[in-house]
Amino acid sequence: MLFDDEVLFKDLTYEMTRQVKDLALLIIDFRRDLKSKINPGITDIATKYIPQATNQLVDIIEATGKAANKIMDNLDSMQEDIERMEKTLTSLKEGKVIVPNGKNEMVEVAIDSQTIKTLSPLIDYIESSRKKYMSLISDSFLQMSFQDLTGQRIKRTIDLVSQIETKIKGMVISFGLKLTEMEKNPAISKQELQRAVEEKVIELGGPQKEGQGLDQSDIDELLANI
Amino acid sequence: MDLNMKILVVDDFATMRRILKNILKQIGFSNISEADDGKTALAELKKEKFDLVLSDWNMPEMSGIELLREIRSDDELKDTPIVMVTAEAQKDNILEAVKAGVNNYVVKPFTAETIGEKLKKVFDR
Repeated sequence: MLFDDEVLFKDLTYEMTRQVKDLALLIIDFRRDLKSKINPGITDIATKYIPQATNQLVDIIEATGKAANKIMDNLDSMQEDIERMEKTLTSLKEGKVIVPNGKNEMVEVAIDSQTIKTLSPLIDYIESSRKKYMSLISDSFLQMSFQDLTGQRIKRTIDLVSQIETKIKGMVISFGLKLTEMEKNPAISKQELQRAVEEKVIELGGPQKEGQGLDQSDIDELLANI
Repeated sequence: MDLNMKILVVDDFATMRRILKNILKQIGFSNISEADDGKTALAELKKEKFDLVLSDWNMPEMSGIELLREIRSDDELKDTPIVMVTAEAQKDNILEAVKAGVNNYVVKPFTAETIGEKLKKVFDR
């Protein structure tokens, strides 16, 4: 009966190890694939540095942020022009208009009431267009909040994938190291084995940047050991 | 509502800070400062007096709800009006913010009218 239990638990352990390995490979493949879609020219890097795929998502946030800021610069510029236009219209209605005199100077020109009356349909048209454009610009500013909302969701995805990756990596390393160490040194004590594994897991558990943590060859080696 | 009041906009996304500043300028406010997380905002609030804080919820270093609690527990700052402007639209989040002493709550995406109405409510009370 005891023998049957041992066989059962051994089978379960191997089954679980296989599943974890499959899960780890799934994540690695997913991130490789994601990387190749984002920037096919640097897939070779993706095969070496898994965490760089996350950096690509960070790049997306930065790129959309830059584009959003550029668009808002343009909107700001249009808004300023329209505000100037409003001032010109107001002074025009009051019978004067400030115009450049060709010598890099602005001069005030008086306009008689009959001319203003004649021009009033045009002034009204410009005034209504100005209001419409101001409203469209304000709305365009608001629509730029897409960058914040999509960015927050991408950030959450990055955090989630990073957490899953760290956990799975910890499990893969733990299993891989235990099996490797036991093979190398069957006499190793349980405590020594646990300490060695914990040290390695902590060492690799932090946020990974280029040159830090495991590279693809480390991962492949560990997976091969399971 | 005094259009000369000093407003602090707190959001880790520069885009959102800019959108809020634009709306506030459209309303007529001109004295607007910004901070990109709760920690920076708290440092700014301790340096100079602000009449209103508009804060996001999810931010690095110190979140909006943590900032709210810090402000409410500080004798000098506790009366500063705070409006949360956030994508956190869960009932639990709103209740948490209300319990922590938020003055009003705006859910992203918002309109300029919503911001104007909420600010009016805060200062009309």
